[in-house]
Parts: sequence; C-alpha cells; structure tokens
Amino acid sequence: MDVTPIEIPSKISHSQPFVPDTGFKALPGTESSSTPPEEEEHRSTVGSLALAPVIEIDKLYSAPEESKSQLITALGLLADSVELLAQARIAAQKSRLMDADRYTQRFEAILPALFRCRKIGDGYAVVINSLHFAAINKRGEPLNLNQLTTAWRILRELRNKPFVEFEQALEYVEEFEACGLRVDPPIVSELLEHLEHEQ
Amino acid sequence: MSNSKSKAYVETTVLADALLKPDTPKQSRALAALARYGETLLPVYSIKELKAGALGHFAWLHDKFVQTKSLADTVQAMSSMNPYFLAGRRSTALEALAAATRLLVAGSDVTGDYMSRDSEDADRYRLALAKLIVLSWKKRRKLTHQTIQELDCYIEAAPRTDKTSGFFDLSPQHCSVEKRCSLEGDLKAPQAKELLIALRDAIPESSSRVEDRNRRSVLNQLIRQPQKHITEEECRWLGDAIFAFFCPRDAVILTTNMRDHVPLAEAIGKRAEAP
Repeated sequence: MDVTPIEIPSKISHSQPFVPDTGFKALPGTESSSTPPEEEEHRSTVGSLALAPVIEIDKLYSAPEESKSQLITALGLLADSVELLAQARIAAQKSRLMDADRYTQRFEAILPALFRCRKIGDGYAVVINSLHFAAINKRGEPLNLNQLTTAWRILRELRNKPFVEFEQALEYVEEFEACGLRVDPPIVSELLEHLEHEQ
Repeated sequence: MSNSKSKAYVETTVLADALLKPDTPKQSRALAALARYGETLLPVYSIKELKAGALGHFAWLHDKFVQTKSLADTVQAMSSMNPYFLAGRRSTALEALAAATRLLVAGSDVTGDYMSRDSEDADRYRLALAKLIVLSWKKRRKLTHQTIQELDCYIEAAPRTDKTSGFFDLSPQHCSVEKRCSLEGDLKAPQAKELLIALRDAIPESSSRVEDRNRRSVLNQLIRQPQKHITEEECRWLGDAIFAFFCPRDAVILTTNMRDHVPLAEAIGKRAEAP
C-alpha cells in the first residue's frame, strides 16, 4: 500500500517561545485569511483604531502572572494543534484516511499538555477536556471530516480567544456533540447511580 | 415506531436518564421511548424533582472536587456516604475513575508526580460535571414536545457557579414557602377526593418505607383536613402520587420506577409504562 509520508510541523514543541502576536496572524492556523468572520467584521468597524499598533495577545488580556506562562505555552500548542488538524482535514478530503488519522493521533498526543495549561480559565479547560474525552471515547476510531473540521475551527477560535467565558465554551462543546463526538467521561453516569443508591 | 395517537407524561427518572446518563443504555432507552410517542408532555414537577435529586447529586460531587482538588480525596468522601465505595471497592473505584481519564496515545502520557496527576484528574471530573449540569439544564425543555403544568410557586432558576468559591448554586431547589402551592387547588377540588382516597389505599398501610408513610400521611391530610394548606415539604412527600393524579387521562406515565408508579396509576384507572 502506498503510504504518504507525513510531515510533522517542525515547530511543535511544548516549550515553544512566545511569538508576539495579536492572535490574528503569523502563527499557523491563525493567519488573517483564517480569521473567523466576526473578528474581521470587528476589525473593519473600529474606525481609526484599525490603524493602531497591534496589541500583543498577552497584553490584550490581563492575565495573572501565574497563568501567563501557561498562556504562552498554550498558544504555541494550540497553533500546533490547528496545523495538525488542518493537515488531517486535507488528507481526509483527499481520502487519504490513514494519513488523516496519523495527523489526528499527533494532535491527540498534545491534548494532555494543553490541559496542563488549564489555569488560563475554565472556558479554555472545558473545551480541551471535552476533546480529550471525545478522543478517549473514540477508542482509536478515526475522526471523520466533519469532526476534524469542527475541532480545527473551534481550536482556531480558542487560540484567538483563549480567555473564553465558560458559558460560551459550552456552545463549542455543544458543537462537538452535534458532530457526533461523545465528550463526557465514560464513567460519569455510573457516579450518578452510586450517589442515587445512597439516597 | 412512533404512535401518533399516544401520549407520554414524562416522569423524573426518564428525564434524568435522558439528560444525565450520557452514552449509556439507559439514555438510549429513554430517548428511544420519547421518540416512540406521538406526543410527550413534561410537567414542571419533573424538572423540580430533577434539580432537587439527580442534578443536586452531581452538584454535590462537583463541589467535592472543588473542595478537595483531589480525585482520591473525593472518592474517600463518597465512601463515607455510600456503601458501594466502602473498603475494598474504594480502591477499585479510584482506579476506574483515574483510568477513565487516560488517553491511550503514544507520547501523550507524560507522567507527572502523583499529586499533580490526582489534581489533574479532579479537574477533569469537575469540568465534566459542570458541563453536564449546565447543558442538561439547558436541554431540559427541549426533550419533549411540550412542557406543561407550570408551577407558580417554583422558580426555575438556572444552575450557576459562585465566582469566588467555585461551588454550584442550584437554588431554589424547592418551592417558595411564601407562595401557596400551585397544585393545591386541583388536589382539593370536590371531584378529587375520590382519587385521593384511591391513591392512599394503593399504598400499603403496613409499608415500612419512609416515603410510603409520608405519602399516605399527606394524602390522609388532604382527604380529612382539606382546609389545611400543603407545605413545601408535604408537596415533595406526595411525589409519585402527583404524577398519577395530574397525568392526563389520555396519556401514560413514562417512568423507570414501575414499582412505585404502577399501583398508584392503576388505582385511578391510569397507566405507567417503562421506556
């Protein structure tokens, strides 16, 4: 069988140095061309501010010191994730399913490190945690194109807005569920049953 | 297959299975049952019971994870409340819960020390429970065709977390003590007395179960002292009898608790069905 070699993005590293950026350009997966529509609209309506100097993402959000280093790490990891999922999508679109799955596996391997950056906030953490359990519940079965696209798009948005509110993050989680990802811990309903027996 | 003429009156246990037991056979059965009926009706009393019961249990567990920041300590806390987790089973439960968070991808499992792993697992469950509580509440009125029998005495406030403590606030979980019970009027209507007597007689007088004794006692009070107002606690004690009484004549009570609902429903010529 002809297997296409996979090029892993060379910049994947958990200790990747922070690149000053607005979050809207430069890093893979968040170039201006892939900016979500609402961001583009926002930028085009700010009048004179449109020409203002770019604001670094860690200045744009008032992150406490403790979470700042996690933010820097997470932004790098999210960029890697977006890139890997983009490659997986391309492979899936070309019906190179094995390649798509290999990119996906590499993305899933980043999830625990992304979760270790959870001090960024519960909104960020619940999105990453949901993808983590979705991967567990897949039990090795590959993500389909729709699922890859949803994860890719939402992680791209998360990289642009890592301090997402919990309620808004749950809308992302609902999108995961809507595309067939099962995002709950496999054992969670058993917990409820044991608690009910106590009553 | 859907029967367009059939109606189901959805009881709390089915609502809980459909909303709070993701990816389980119980959830599949509940959802399949809801699809089976031409019309599904959800009384607000079911929502009230869900919040005071199953949702409250999950909120307690969530808060325990917030408090302990440890999976091991949370399992220990559960063991003090539930015989399932006692002694030998406690370590098995802890292992199962910890194992359920592991992603089997090569290179992903960079081992941290036990404390950080334990705290990470606690955070995973805390977030998963918070997600489940908030989203299940959001979906509660979307499961059935209609939500009926609104309760003026009960405020259906969404679960929220305290920004400072991180604990869930599910209040109010019960009816307002300042407002008259919304169901009281129907329960005390002249034609209701016969139904109340039949419901009371369906509960064995010799039953040793606390819920049976309480339910009989409130039904007796409604029959013998109709002038006396029902308290919030008495309304809760009526519980399953409320479903039998208020289920429309052309509907069946959809419940997993057949043991309690069948005798009550049949006593007044109604039916209960399991999903």
